Amino acid sequence: MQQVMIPAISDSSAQQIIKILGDTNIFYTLPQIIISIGALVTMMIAAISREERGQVINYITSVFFLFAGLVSSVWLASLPKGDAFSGMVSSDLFSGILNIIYSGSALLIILVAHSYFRNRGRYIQELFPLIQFAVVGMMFMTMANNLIIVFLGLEILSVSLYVLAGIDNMDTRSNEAAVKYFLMGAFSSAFLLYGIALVYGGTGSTGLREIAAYINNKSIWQNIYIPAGIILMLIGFGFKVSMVPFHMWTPDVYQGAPLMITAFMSTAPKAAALSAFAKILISMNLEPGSSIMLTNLIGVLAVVTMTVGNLMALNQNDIKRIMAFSSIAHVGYLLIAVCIMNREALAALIFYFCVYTIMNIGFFSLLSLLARDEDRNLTLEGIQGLGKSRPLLGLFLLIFLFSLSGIPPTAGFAAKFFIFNTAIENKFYLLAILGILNSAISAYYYLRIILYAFIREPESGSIDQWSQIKLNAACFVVIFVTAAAVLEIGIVPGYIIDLGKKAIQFL
Amino acid sequence: MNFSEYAWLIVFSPFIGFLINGLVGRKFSEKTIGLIGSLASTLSFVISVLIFFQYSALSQKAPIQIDLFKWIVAGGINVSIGYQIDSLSLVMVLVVTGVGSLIHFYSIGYMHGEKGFARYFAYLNLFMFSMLNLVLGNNILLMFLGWEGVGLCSYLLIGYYYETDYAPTAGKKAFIVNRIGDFGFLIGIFLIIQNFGTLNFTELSTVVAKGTSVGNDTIFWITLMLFVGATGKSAQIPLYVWLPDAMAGPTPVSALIHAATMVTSGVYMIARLSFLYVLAPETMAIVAFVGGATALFAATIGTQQNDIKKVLAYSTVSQLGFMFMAVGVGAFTAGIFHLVTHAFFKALLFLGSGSIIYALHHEQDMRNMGGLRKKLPVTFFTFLMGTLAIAGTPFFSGFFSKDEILWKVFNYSSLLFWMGALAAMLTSFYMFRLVFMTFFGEMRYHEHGGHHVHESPAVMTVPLIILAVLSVFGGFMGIPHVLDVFHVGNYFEHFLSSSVKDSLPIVFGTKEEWGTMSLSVIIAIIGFTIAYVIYLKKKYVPGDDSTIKGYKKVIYNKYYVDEMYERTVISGTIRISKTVYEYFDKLVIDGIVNGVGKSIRRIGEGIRGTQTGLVRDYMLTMIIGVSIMLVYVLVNKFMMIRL
Repeated sequence: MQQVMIPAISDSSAQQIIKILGDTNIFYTLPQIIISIGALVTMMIAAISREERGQVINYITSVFFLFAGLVSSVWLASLPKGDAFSGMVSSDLFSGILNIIYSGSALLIILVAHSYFRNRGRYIQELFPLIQFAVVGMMFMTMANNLIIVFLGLEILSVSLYVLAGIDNMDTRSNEAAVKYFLMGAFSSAFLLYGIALVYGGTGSTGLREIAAYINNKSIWQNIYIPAGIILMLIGFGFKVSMVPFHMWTPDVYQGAPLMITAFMSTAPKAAALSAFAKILISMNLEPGSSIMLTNLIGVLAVVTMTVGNLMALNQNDIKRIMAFSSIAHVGYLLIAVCIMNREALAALIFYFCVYTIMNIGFFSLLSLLARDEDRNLTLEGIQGLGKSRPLLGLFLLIFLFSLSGIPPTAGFAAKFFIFNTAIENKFYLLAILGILNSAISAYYYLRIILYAFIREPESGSIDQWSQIKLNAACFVVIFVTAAAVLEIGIVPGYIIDLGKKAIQFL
Repeated sequence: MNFSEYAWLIVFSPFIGFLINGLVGRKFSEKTIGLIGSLASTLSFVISVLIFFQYSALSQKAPIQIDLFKWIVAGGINVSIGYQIDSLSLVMVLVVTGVGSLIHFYSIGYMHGEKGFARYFAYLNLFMFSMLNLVLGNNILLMFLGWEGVGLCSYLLIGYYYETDYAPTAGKKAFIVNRIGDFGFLIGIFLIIQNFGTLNFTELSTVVAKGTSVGNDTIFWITLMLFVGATGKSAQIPLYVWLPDAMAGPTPVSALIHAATMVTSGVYMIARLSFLYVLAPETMAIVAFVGGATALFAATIGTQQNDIKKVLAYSTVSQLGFMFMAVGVGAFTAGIFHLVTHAFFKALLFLGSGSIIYALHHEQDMRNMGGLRKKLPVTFFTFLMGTLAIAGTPFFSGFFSKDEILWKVFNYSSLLFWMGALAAMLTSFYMFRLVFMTFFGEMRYHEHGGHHVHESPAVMTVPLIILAVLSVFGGFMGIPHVLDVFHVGNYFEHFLSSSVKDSLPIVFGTKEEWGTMSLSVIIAIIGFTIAYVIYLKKKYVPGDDSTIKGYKKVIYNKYYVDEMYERTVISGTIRISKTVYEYFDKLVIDGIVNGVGKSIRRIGEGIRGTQTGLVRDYMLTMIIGVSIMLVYVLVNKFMMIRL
């Protein structure tokens, strides 16, 4: 057995810091602190230096801070669990891994976004602080031990995302996306807040531990406020992860927002919202029998979500729109794990987050090389002939799409296998079967992209267009690393699965 | 320094060579490509030698396990990518990397000027990688991965001259026939998982040694199914038909894959799983008799072939039969010993024939050769050494190993012994027939257009010389004890004993051992004499294909086995699949698939209308969703109250 090594806290300096800070333990929020500083610094730079030079400085600065945040997340993940701010937030391996996902994905996104926006001919420096604020928000959501903190994190994230969706203020579609997203996001936040209020009313606390102590393995039905509150919170989070029927914003916003923003929105925030909800459910310590209502409900939502996502994707022509529906379908698979609601399923959930983030960012980074004319050429016809004139890019396209549709030996297959396998082991046979049928449907639209890229003859002008693509170093590194990771995890998934299982024990 | 920690490098060094030559090889010169490929293989050899010396110095020869990482964890099955070093795998690794490296160097000369030089070396390295996984893997699944990998490389290399029409066909044939065997192998693996719950060799043998509750019937089926896999890969009856056709590949490939290494993996597999096989005496008997029948049957075909490589191909099938005969009767050590010596002399013979073919510009028909002794002195001399070795001339390597097999078989069954003895006589006959037809007599090759026949370059002749030395002296590592006048002992058997032990009881004494040994010498002389009279004294040269008559025609056409397969299995399969395609696939399956596909798309088209783009519609949907969910909670609540 290959074990994941979790070094005990040996660093005497770290212990000393903990001692000095006492109950506050601000030290456990080190990644948030670093990235917040980064966000503030980049905002200052944006105010001072305009246009291209500022963009470059900002780019380098935010890469530096996000990297520092990533390193500190890794370090915190290796430490034993601990509380900060009088138990309002806590750090453990679970939050550590998710923090790594957030800061890592933001780092990858920024590496690509810089060249993407340069190609788009826009210098938008607000991009950098906003992404970093979003990361801070997500980190608080996962680390939170209190519903108020969860809400706070979610709002930091949401407000950043609203602005990010409309960040290209010259593009009307981007503006439309921002307004739609904001209107509906505000609407859904109300549900979340109302849900929190009901739970507070029902249990007398917003702290997860206090709530757990109150419920204490008794039925959640002791008063109606608790189940109703949980359902309303589910709606609030469901909106963020685009769960059907709260998904309607997704295609419009994903299509309207600039490509790399879409890439960001479709990955880390979903992991944040779902993991926060899963953490709330797990730490509420629900008695298995009393949560049958929830299990059934989430199970139905999972099936509806993946089915609607996949069916809607079939007839789309715009790749960004396809990816929007694809992300809805993936949330459906993730909801299967939430539905099973035990620790093993959470391990599968974490594994799926890792894989989904990696392959999605890889695919979007690849698209960012191809994007022209404010992403309007990213249609099925628009990518004809790519495989023939740029075989290397075609190969990467193939890897990412195979992984998204779950074909071995890619990471996407391992992730789906793990989720469906967990479902079968816990006797959720129907969910597993429907999930597998759905991923069969999904193969159609992913492979259709491959069909257009490889088989269809290119239109006359497009060969020129492909040969003009310059491989930007940062972007290429991101694509290469993600593609390699997709294959590596696909062939040897053991390590990350172990890590996920370990993380769950710490919750 | 503990070299076995670097065992992974043995496996991955050729893989790196494959990556370099496969990805960027086209940009390099032939010399660079050849050196990268050969050095990658040589590095593996050097490490194996170092590990070998360290390992053989150990007093306790326990298997060394090198687990790299966990590969598959599903249900109760836990498979890692891990390697096992013990005496058996070390012997195999030394043969594979040693002979393999020589053939790599030889290929630099032989493949000079061929199109796709880099492709060739990339495949060759990939083959080495797969083969080393096969022999070093510490579990059956990794062995199977290597097993499939070598099959793939064999397919790619047989079809190397893909512009001809026969090479791709031969490649396909090899692949398909092997798939049939692999199917059996897979069933064997599944049965092992089902009954033992582990695929790791060490764990498996521990389970078996403790006394297992698995029934004898099950073990019979497991071992038999695995042997079906072996008949495919190691070209035994009834799945041997692909190997002669596989000669369409470049000659060094025939030497490496289709003589020295890959085709012997079935023998290795049985030796590796000997602890299971000894529990199934019925399977062992089947293995032994299939081996004996193949040895005899292939040897008869070999006597009438005129293509130099075809003779050697049937000879390989026949010699593999000898090895299976040995492992079948429980003389695992003798089987592996013959595997090793065979690797030396058969690689030598193939490379020698390659040298001839190279000199004669791809002429392979022996009827157009003759008298090459003077033109190709080095090739002739080394080839003669190989022939003497395979024919069983006393004190040449083949003598020791073949005699050992015949002696052990004699202890098991006299019928099998006589089959083997007859096959040995035919071996001696067809090999000398080959030598006389190519090297002696008049030169029947017409030199045209200024192309003179001359000896191959040193890069080809040096490997020949090294292999010739090994073929002559290689047998001394396993001296039979009647000849052991200096009491040095049978080193080979002693070394292997830490991982494989013979299960065959020796019932006869020294007298009989002398008897079988003398008999095998006499047999070899008889075979030689017949060949000498017909092909050297009478200077007989077979005529054109159309003039071959009678029993010779039947043998020349390989007993029409290919035609029989064609008429029955192949055309039957085609007819069945055509019927299924017409009536079941087109009507039922396509109907369902297209119907489902169409209706799913139609549903998608339908719900697409909900995406209006208007925020008010979206919010309405949300409200409806929220309402349904809250009503659901209330319904649940009331049901709780009623309960």
